[in-house]
Amino acid sequence: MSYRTIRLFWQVGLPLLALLVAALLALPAAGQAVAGRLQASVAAPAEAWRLGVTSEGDPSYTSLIGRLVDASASFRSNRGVTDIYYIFPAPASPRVVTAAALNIVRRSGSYASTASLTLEVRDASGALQRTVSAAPTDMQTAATGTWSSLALDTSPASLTIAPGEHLVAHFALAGAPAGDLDVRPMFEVVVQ
Amino acid sequence: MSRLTRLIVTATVLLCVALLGRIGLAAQPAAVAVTSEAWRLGVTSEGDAADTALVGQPMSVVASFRSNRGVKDIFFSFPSSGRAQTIQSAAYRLLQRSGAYTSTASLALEVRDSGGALQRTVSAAPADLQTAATGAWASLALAADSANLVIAPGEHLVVHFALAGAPAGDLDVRPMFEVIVSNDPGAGSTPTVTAVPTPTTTPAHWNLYLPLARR
Repeated sequence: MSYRTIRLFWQVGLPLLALLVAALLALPAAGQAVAGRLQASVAAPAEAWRLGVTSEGDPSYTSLIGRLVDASASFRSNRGVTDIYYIFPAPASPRVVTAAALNIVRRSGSYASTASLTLEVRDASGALQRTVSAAPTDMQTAATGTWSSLALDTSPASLTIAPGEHLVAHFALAGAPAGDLDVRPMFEVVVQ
Repeated sequence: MSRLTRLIVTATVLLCVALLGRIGLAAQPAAVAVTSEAWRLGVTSEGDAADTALVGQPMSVVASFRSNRGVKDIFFSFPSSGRAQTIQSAAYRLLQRSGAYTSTASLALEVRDSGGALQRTVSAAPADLQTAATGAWASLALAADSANLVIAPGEHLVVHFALAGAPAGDLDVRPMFEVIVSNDPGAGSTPTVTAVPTPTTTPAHWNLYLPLARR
């Protein structure tokens, strides 16, 4: 290859090469922009559930009738029941829990035995279907005033909520109702 | 010009051109985020569909429709949105029903303005609340005209319980609802909502071979 040819290449080919590289670098971003416009169709919404209804002793969905929605649950150890439920609004289509977090806004008093919290899926009558959380959380020792993640069960099947089912945060006393433990937690459950 | 100089000039020019290309793309307006929501909470209002009827009223998951409340119309109002929304699907589930009403007691999904005046009927046909199945989710068929599925800012969505005659009897219905809405103006109604995977693009990697020649 002669020197003249090589020089011609650099004089003409260089600008062409620069244009080619610019085009190649721009194409993926342009493709993404096009995909973004096509992606304007709406998918099943991912949601963050933060509101629910506290029900003392009854996890059935009919226990929500006439009750008001609240941003924080009310778990007390002296309400004459060993189980209190914070029930989230039921979905009409299948959902999967992808994350859950807890923030104990206020805690006072104590209970002589264990007071634990688990995230569960129950059917309309209140029967337990699946335990979503990996392990119970001790409500007397958990940190207050900060968001803490609730570890979820490793089995994906445990994280599903089918139509007709609903998600509950279940506060359970290990012994009889007693003491004066009063816990007011907030929740955020992300579902897809 | 030495070989090293040519390489440096080449690299510099390529980088400048690439940078100019990226700046140009960055100047493009960002795509508007499309969101969809599931509406389940609302306020039961007996006889009044105006926004003001919600003031001071607590929200609930379950509506309360009774035939002996002295009114022919009861509304379960969803919170208004500041953005235009398009209804994609609607479902209801009768948790509890008791009593009876001698005439028809129906349910319809409607869009009303802030004063409570009817703007659009969203549901294709009224549902008979005395014969509808209880304990299971049922879809509410939506109007075929997509213009009827829009909620403009200043308007709000209501579930309208209507008695065909005067208030009487002891019909007591407690339904819950799920309405899927989207702020994408191009979204139409879908009988079922399915997840659409978002494609991800990865930039192509290219190996560049610059011809080098001995002088």
